[in-house]
Parts: sequence; structure tokens; C-alpha cells
Amino acid sequence: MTALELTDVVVDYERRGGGRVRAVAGASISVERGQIVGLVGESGCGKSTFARAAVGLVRMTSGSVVFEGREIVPLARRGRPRDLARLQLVFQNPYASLNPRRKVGSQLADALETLDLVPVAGRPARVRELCELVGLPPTAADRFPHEFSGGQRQRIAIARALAADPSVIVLDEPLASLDASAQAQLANLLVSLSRELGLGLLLISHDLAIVHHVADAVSVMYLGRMVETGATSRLWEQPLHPYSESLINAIPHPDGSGFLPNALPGEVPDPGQPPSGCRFHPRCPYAFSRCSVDEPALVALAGGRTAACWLQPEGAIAASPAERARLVAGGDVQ
Amino acid sequence: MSLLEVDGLRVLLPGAGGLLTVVDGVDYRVEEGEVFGVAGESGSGKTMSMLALLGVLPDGAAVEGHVSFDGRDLLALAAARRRELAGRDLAMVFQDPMTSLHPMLTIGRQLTEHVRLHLGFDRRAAESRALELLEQVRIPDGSEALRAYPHQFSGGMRQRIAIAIALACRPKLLIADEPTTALDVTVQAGILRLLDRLRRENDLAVILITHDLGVMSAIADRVSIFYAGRVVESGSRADVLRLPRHPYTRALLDALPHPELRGNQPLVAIPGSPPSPGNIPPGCAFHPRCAFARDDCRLHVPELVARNGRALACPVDPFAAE
Repeated sequence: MTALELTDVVVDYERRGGGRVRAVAGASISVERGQIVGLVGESGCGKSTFARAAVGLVRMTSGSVVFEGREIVPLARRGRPRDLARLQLVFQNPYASLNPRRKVGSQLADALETLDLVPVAGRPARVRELCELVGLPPTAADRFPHEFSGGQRQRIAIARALAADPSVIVLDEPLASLDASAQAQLANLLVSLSRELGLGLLLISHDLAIVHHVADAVSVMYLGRMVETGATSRLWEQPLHPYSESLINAIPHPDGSGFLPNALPGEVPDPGQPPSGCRFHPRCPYAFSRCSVDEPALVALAGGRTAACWLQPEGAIAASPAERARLVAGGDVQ
Repeated sequence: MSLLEVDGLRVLLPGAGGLLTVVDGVDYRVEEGEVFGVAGESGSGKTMSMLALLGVLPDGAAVEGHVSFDGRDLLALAAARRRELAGRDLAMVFQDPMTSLHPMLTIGRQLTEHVRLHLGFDRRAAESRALELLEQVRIPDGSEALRAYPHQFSGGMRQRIAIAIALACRPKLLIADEPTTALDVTVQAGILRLLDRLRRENDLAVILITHDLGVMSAIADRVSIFYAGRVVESGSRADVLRLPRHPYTRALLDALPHPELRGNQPLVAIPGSPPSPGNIPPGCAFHPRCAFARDDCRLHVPELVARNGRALACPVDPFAAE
């Protein structure tokens, strides 16, 4: 059974001074237990709003979020229903989400107490176990958040999420602002937690390189919609959507070769005024006449992949955007 | 003579128990039109060693060593003379352009202030110079941009504007401190291409400070790897990144996700975390995290030894044969 399933999620924000902004414009994703799903895209593409919708923190205009077979109702005044504790969220900046004036142990014990998961006598032992689970020394419980490095603080935030005994954790940019080594340590931790505890992870990141390394499946988001989804390694080897391709080509190579990554012209447009037709067409190097008129739907292609691009007709065999564009120029694709 | 010559630079910052050494004897040269990359983890002294050149360290800081910039002894200059130089021949851009852009002044005002003050341009001349700068950093609709405020631009555009301001007085050296860290990769690539073009077209020397070896690999000609306030390895980009010799450089590269690595194969993280100033281990500062450490690594601080155009501070040199 799919642990977390978001279907056709639409989220609108009211803009101060009037006007509506559609931050998420009909996006779907599903996460199984023990699976790591990556969600990538540039800033302003709606990733974080989508993450919040996934855990019921924002009101959706339409669409549904189903967690362990039950539909999630957005957060009400009285707080989240108890069974939703098994769906946790970890934010980018652990220093903002941890209380600086309370010891780590007591913050970890909060969830145990609120949810009454462990009898009082067993809580100190469980706190030590949680520290160990995320690779912190047992003595960490008696220290304050400021005594830890950025990477360690993110471990504390993850331990606190684990305290609620979750089946799925949504992580919003958990690795941003960390040094390479701390990032590698944390990425490895996420993979082992997912495998060992059968945890489903929805990993939201702008760093495609790290997502490629840890995620089993990946979805690429642009201006509130998914433009491509697929198994991570296949998407990486052969991106089918021009946007995915641009993201991959922009990654620098730390190999001393002097490879100058390719910039994608322009920037993510204002979601309040999305371009006509395909939302990516003003920045797309392959755009042709149809792209500015009709919006392509996310369709299934051969090999279990999906893409939303007029260059990739439904059921087509995977071929790079450039190859497809040649066919279009030759009149072989409508 | 090089444009910038730094010898035995030490920076001490006031801490809880007196002065703490954050930069401990750093030497390097930067030539005209060259991109010099400085890499290392946070707290390795990268930024402090640059702020020391500009004379903008926190109160109570002490600087030792010798710095020659364009033939002048930088550290011996009076504060006022150095500030003058720092606005004109020596410029800096930071990770977050909003820290250097004034939120309530127009771009035009911020772009012209410099040239009027340092170069004595009148208003009209300053404005045409501002338009020229915006074009140079590829900001569209220059005259409209001059009347706009920083918040009206995206992060990438703001960084371009910060670079334009830094370039206003035609500096000889631009220090770029993590200029792309806060940006998306797609936008980062544009800034890297911009810096690369500026150094080619204007013969601008750039010191690129970054924790991202990929960014460094894209445009740096020569690189230095910092650890705990010292240079542990330096040399040409290709030498250092293709055949890293210091165990720390090697470990930094191994920690990066690599296209050839398949999923389920864990990244090789460096154990532990970098030491903080005041808690620098004796001997080689990297020895507690190093897989190749020997007894003498715990006792003696290894010297940076130069040979065949590269320099290494590791007596073990475990990758020498490769």
C-alpha cells in the first residue's frame, strides 16, 4: 500500500493587495514505505508549498492527500489529529525549529510524552536510543542545540521526527547549508534509516546531485507542476523533459576539467502570471509553435517514465529532447 | 611580481579566552586575469583571511604577516588609505547580495555612488558608467533597472548587481566569497560564466572562495585547500582536483555525490567535524580525521612543501605514487 499519496494538489495563496497566486497547480506524487522519493526544482517552483500540503500544513484549493489510507484534512485550530503523528516534517534550518533554551533530551522526550508512546520509566532509554539511531553520542541528550554543528543539529531534528514513530518523513531541503562532508554523512544516514526502519522519505531539494545519490525515484517540478518523474538513475542518465535536462547540465563537475556548466536563461516566472501553454516554453531551448499555445499533460512513456512535454508523445520510447526535436523539425511528431 | 602576494598571513580574533588564531600562516600569489580558488569547510579561515586584506575584521582582531597588492604593502597602509584602495582597486562580493545592497536605495544610486566618490565622475558620467556596468553583467533594461530597488530583482539578478557595483571603479582584484552558494544551479552557472568572462575581457583577477569543489573546478586556474586556518594543498586546478595528494582534499572529493556512483553505495563522509579555532588539534590539524595519520602527525605541524608547481602539507603523502 502506498504510504503517502498526493493527487492533483492545487494550492492558492492570496497576495497582499489582492490577486491570487497558484503556487501548486495540480501536482501528484506517491511515497511507499522504505522508499526515498526526491522532489527537485528551482526556488520558487512550489516545492516547499507542496511539502507543506503533504503534511496538512496548508489548505488545498483542490486535490487530495491520503496518508496510510486516510485522507488528510488541513491543520485546524486545535492541532493535528493523533494518527497524523506518523507523518513527520523536517525543515531546512534545524536551528529555527529547535528550542535553543531546552536540552536536546527533553525536546526529544516531548513527542514520547505527547503521544504516550513509551511508559514514563522507559523514556530516558528511548531518548538515548533515538540519539544513537541518528549517530549522536548518548550524552547529546544533556546538551543544548547551540553546542552542536549544523549537521548534528539536523540529526537532532531528524531524531525528534523519529520519536513520533513515523512511517513517512517529509524533509524540506534537509541538506542545504551543510558542508560537503556533513552533507554526505546526513545523506548516508537518511538512506540507512529508510532501509532499516522501512521509512518512506519525501526529500525536497534543489540539489539534484545529492538527490541522484539517495533517492529511488525522482519528480521534477516546474512552476507548480510535475514535468517529469521516473527512477532516479534513468532520469539522470537520460532526462526526457528539457527542464530536467537543463537542471542536470547546470551541475558543475568537481573533476578539475574546467567544465563550465550551462546556465538556463531567465528565471522561474511569477506563479501569479504563468506563461501560456507549457509553463517552461519561454526558457526552453526546444520550444516550437505548439508549446506556447497548449499545455502538455504528464503522460506515461515507455519504460515506466512520465513527462509533460510535446516532444514526448504518450507511450513513446525514451529519447532525449534533442533527438525528439529533430523529429519534430522533420514533421514526424504532431 | 604578482598582483597579490600574501606571505605568512596570520589572523587572530578575540574569543572567550583571549585571542584565537583563525588563520595560521598562509602564503599565496594571485596573478592578473587569474581566478584563484580557495576551498575548505566552514570555519577553515577562508573568509577571515580575505577580510584581513580589506581591513574589515571585527574589533580587537590582530593581523600578522606581509601582504603586497599591486606593489603596495597593504597591511602597513593607514586605515583610511586602505579603505580608499578597498573601494577602488580591490572589491569584494558576498554570498548574500542583500547584505551589501542597501534595501532602500535605488540600484542607480548604489551604482553611481562609488564612481562619484572614488573617480570624481559627475552625475551624467556616473550614470552612463552605471548603464555600461549593468550591460556588462547582463541586466536587461538598464535605464529601468537604475530606478528600481534591490527587492524587485531575483537572487541571481541581485548578485549580478552586486558584482556590477564591485566592478564600478575597475578593480584589479575581485574577491568573491561564496558568490553562488545561495543560488539555484541554473542561476549559479550564469554567475560562473559571468566571472569567467570578466576575467578574460577585463583581465580581472578573481579570488573565488567556495566550499563547493564543483564551482571551483568550473573557473579556477589555481586552487588552495584550507583546513583549520592553514593551506594543506595548492596547485593547478587540474592537478589538485584530478590527482589530490592531501588526504583532506581527497576526502572532500570523495564526500561529493558523483554521477558514476550508483545508489545504495554510500558516500564517503569524513568522520567527525572540522575543529573550531581554539580547539585546533596539535600536530597536523587534520590528523584526528585522517585515515593515514602516523605518530609524527600528532606531534609536528607539517610544512607546506612546494614541488613541481604544487604544494603539499603532508609528510605521509599517501597518494604520491598514483
